[in-house]
Amino acid sequence: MHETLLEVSNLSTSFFTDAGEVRAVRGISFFLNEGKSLGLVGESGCGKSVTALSLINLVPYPGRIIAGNIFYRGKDLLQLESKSMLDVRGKEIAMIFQEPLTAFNPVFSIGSQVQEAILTHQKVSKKEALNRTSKLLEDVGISQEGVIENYPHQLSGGMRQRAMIAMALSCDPSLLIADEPTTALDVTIQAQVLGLISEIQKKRNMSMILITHDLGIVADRVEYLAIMYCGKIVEYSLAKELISKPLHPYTSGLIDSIPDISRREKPLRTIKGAVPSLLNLPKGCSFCDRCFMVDSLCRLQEPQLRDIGAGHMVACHRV
Amino acid sequence: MFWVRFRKNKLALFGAITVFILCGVALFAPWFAPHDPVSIDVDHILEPPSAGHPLGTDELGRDVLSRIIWGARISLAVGFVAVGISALIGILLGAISGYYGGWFDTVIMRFVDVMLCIPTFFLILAAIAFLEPNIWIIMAVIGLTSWMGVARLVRAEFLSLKEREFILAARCVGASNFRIIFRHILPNALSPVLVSVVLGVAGAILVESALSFLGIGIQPPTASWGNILASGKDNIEIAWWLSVFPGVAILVTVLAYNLLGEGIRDAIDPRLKK
Repeated sequence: MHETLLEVSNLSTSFFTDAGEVRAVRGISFFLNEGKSLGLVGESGCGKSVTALSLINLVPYPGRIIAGNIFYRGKDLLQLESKSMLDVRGKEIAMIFQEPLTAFNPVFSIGSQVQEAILTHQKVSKKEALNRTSKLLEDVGISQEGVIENYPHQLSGGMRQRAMIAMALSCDPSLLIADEPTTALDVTIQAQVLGLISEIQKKRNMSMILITHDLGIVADRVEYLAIMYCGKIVEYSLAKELISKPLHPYTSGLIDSIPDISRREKPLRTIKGAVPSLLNLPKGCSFCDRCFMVDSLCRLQEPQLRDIGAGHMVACHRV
Repeated sequence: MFWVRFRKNKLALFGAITVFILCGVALFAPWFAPHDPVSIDVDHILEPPSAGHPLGTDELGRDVLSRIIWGARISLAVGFVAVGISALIGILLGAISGYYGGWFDTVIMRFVDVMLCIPTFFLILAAIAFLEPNIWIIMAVIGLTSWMGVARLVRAEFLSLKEREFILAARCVGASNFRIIFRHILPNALSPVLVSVVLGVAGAILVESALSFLGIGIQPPTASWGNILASGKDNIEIAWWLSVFPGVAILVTVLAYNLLGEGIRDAIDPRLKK
């Protein structure tokens, strides 16, 4: 049952802009077993979304995957012809986007878009596809009369995101990539939608990659966590272990900056400084300018991800 | 929303009703026309408007009203088919060059520039001089020389629409390029094309009338507003009705299409209206 579904090794994606090569993803490796979930956490611009798009080989121009392998069920997705890749997208790997309003085509109804996704991959009659569509909308909790004929702008943000989830589930994918699925939603709806996603993931025994900038909302919903910084994974471990014993100074910084309502008097802790430009990365560790335990080695040599026991990996010289 | 805004615009409504009536008249010409448009009656040559011939008769005694009604068929048919051809070419080339970009886009757009440099009317004149002037050739030639505007419009829409997130989302569910172009982007790009097509009909009708007036368009005895006008020119001192009525028909039709087209544009995007 614990077969490896996805194995990414040394994936590198760069954007070739007029200003130079922007190295958005710099050689990341991870794997994901069937039925397991991974949280990919990092701040804006650290390469989370580019990683997600690289997985389905849809990096927008002028970006390009320059190195690495993505093995999905043993076959390398980067070697696939574009035609066979069409069958992987949606059917094997589905994606949920951050902003469901812009991710739906404004001129078609919700129902017809979900139905179309079904018809793209499965040889079923239109009627059968329609039946499945209403079943899916029921599964995600928007089975009210008329939703199926509504246009995207007629639904609320939460309902739209639920419809987006229905569309992603339409062909029963084995891997679900959720790219900041709740960032555009109200805090009150966030928990509901995340709960729905994890519930469906467990029920259908899917694997999931949940991408977010908010460590607080994923920590108890995924089995593994990977922390990304400047296009690299700096720490990877079981979620519980990583939250209770963060090793990388960036991870502990992230955990410290989660607001805690019981500590109202104290100011919220932050990580000082800003993310370095991906066009001009420091020679050594990319976190060295913001780190409180930096030493001379950190500025000279880039640390590699290494296992420090029980599958807890970290990329830091000082650990 | 569209219909509410459109209805408020009295001129556009007038245009729409006129176009509707014109299409009805053209479609049912045999029922509306009081006489046979090509039957010659040498006893009643160049008669002024009367009860028997409401718009008078021409130099061969044919009923002008009947000829204008049958002429509406020709003019509207030329307008629709010519614009249909130009819209088809324009949408196809614009969509492909906007979506794929690259060298294909460069080639197509430079070709558009070249086509726009040539005075269209003289190109049509030259083309028809070599070809037999029948109605199909005229439709084809007008269509083949007027697609550039639509192509530019569609390309511009595609350039911005293809970057939208729902296109990425469509790719994520495994839609092919063909499907993305025609099913996901095109329906979003059609409203400006609709405006340009309606305005294009007016332009095509004018070109056809001008060609027929010059004698290289629709050939007599088939009636066309342009060739009625041409025979009116020869008799203008003694038979004003032969020039005025087809002229009014052209004027009203072109005006109606222009008002309709502008009405649609304003109703689609109220910000454009000054």
